[in-house]
Amino acid sequence: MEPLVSGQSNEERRSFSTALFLLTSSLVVLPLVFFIADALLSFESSSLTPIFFKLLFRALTFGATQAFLSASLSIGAAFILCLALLSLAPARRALLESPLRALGQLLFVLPGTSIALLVLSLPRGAVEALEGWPLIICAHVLWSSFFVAAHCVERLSDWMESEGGDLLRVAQSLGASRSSALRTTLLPVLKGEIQTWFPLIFLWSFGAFSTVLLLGSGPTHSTPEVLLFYTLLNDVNSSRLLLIFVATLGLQIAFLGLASRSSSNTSRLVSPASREVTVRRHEQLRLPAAFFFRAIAVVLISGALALLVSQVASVIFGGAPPPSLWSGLLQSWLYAACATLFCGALLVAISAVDARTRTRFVWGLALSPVLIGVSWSRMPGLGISELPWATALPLCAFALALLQLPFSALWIERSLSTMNSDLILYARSAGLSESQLFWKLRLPYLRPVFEKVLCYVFCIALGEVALASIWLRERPLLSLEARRLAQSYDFNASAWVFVLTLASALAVREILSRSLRKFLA
Amino acid sequence: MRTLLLAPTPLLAIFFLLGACSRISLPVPEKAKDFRVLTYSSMTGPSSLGAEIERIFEERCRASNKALVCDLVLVPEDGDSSLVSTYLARPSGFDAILGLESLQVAQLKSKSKVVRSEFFARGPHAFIVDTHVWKDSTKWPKSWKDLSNFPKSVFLQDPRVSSVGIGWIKAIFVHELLNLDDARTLSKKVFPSWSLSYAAFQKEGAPLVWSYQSSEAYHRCEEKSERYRVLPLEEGYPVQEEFVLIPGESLSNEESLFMEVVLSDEVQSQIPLKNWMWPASEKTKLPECFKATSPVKPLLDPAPQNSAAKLSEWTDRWSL
Repeated sequence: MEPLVSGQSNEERRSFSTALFLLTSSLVVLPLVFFIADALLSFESSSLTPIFFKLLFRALTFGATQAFLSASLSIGAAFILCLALLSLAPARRALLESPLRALGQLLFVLPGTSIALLVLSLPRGAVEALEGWPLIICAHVLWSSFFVAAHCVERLSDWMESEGGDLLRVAQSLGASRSSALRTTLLPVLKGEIQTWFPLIFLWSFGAFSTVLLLGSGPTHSTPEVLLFYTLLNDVNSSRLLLIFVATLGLQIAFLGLASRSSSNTSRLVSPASREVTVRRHEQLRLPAAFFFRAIAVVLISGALALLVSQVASVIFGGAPPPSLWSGLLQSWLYAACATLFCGALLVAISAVDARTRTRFVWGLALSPVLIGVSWSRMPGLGISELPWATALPLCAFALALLQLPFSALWIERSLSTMNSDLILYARSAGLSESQLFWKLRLPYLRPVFEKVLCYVFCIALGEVALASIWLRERPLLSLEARRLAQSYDFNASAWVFVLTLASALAVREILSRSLRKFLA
Repeated sequence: MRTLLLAPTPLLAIFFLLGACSRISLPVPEKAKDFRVLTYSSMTGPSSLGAEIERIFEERCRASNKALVCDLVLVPEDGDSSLVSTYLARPSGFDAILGLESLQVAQLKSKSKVVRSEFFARGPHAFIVDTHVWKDSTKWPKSWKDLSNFPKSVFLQDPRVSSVGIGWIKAIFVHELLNLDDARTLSKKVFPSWSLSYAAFQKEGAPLVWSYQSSEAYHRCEEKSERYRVLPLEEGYPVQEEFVLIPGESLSNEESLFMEVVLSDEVQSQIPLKNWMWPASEKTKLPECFKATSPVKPLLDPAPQNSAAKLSEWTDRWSL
């Protein structure tokens, strides 16, 4: 939406964009460069044995395979959910759409640790039978499929109510069978959604840390993140660290490059075409296999709900939580609040930059907490054992907020691309300056995105294990307690952690929603 | 827009302030330094052996009337890290290391100077059986070879981060009690620490856990329970020897005193019921409940220096 920044403010805005890009990049790039230089200076080729290369290769292939399966199954499940819902009559669809959206939002904002705890609440026999990669994939699918489904339902509903319904009718009136009409009209829309979501879920699953740590049954289920983490903590020689680091980063960047190229329109990754739908006609999609889709959708939704309910029931009937959880909760809230504040500031900044800069930030998706943690912890004075709590906490929170920048940029770009340009023209003609436009129009418009992202960051911080294990390990944070409890099979206490995280997520969402509404009124 | 241009400045300032704060050491009044001992986390609890060592050291130190640093601080290892990597990350931060396993001692000596090391406690490793899970003892495996018929039955510890896990590596590569494939088949889950694996085992997560022979004694002496028993295997089990070590090139008075305290009869006699190991001194009298522990054949590492040199490779092979 460039009209917002036309005229005299363009130059100012460009310089601001460049400044922000350079600042945030330098916070990431400088430690990386320092770490690489340090590792090269103390390089020991003797530690890079053939067995180590095999270990690294296995971690990369395991990471990529489970990420590919997770992304494919998530999208598959999401589409089944979506098609099942669209095949319902409008009234019944409306009944199910809100719970699906709530489930998607809820599971998506929950951190990996909580999702792992949720999966561990499956019957013990199932957990033991699935332990290892199936359980890890199960967690990733649970985490992302409902969220993607909720978005796809929204997108496909819009499409059905606008050009989709007309296209279907035209195709059928021209003699196409129902299935071929669906294939020719629906597939391009679904393809666009796959191009948007597959790379994101792949990268999130590839960079998964806490789910792999909690649900993997040992070193054989190491993603590069987990291998990097153990190497950081236990191998003083940084040659191995460097190699894992470069291989992981290289693979993620190559994947992002491929994903962008394979997309018919690169900007689709950032801003899929979307438009205002004012008239809702509630079309119903008549699918040949609607019954099959509905049966699977029922299993998926009821399964997820049963897991949620079982966790809450364990808390109600399982007794009081260990006292350490309360102090953990308090410290985790502090950590999460810090991260949310930092993220809020970065969100405001990134809303002010131009669209091109925001698109550039998307490359940051290749970075992960462990990568950032490793490079920052190798900076002089920021080492693992050197930082006091009061310094480590905001540092860790800032690193976490910084890591959300690509994701935030993506959301903001998506949202701004749907902003009505007439509104901006009207505001400008009414005499609003560029900064007034920003504060009075653009930021209030972005309020839902701010709400979502800040709530997401808060919850991620509550369950974040990677950075916390590197810098805040001496503290009984909720996420670290969750890891300890789940690994010692204390499922009652870990159910408490889950419920506390869930309650925190809901409370924060409410608080953020109210305060942002007030602030950005 | 100008105000926006300034928006990241506070963030930048905070970030660099944090960095600077952590680097600048402000002048502080002269204060006697603590005597810092790096050890594993279970040695740092209020009723642990470490607390007893601390008390005895401070008493003897103050009674000596010499100008010594008498405040002993027990520092637990960093979370998931081993004692060796925690020490090497901050070598100037510790005056002594308590509880290193023999291979770790050799590993540390190859990377850093050590003025003195003495072994102060020992204990064979052993599989502990949950008799509520494996009720019929006649069906228990009798040898390491039999054991390979029970896939996915053991909770293990990750040798990259746990000294108990190193014991498992010794069983495979030093004493060749089972081959690598069988060792992998046996594993039900690998934990980052002994305490997590044992807690999961007590929740009936697996019939066996890789632990110590003395775990049976713990349950008998502390809980008066016979539920958890040593699995007697005819070939025997590798022994873990724990060392106290003074890094550096010369021995200070405090360090000499600390060594003296750890090896004293007063501390050695408390090792069985506080540290759940056998004391280094064979003269030390053992408690009755400890003596009743099922016997196992102890296997000592004939060449710990060679094993230490190969530890990294062995750990990689096991992890593969």
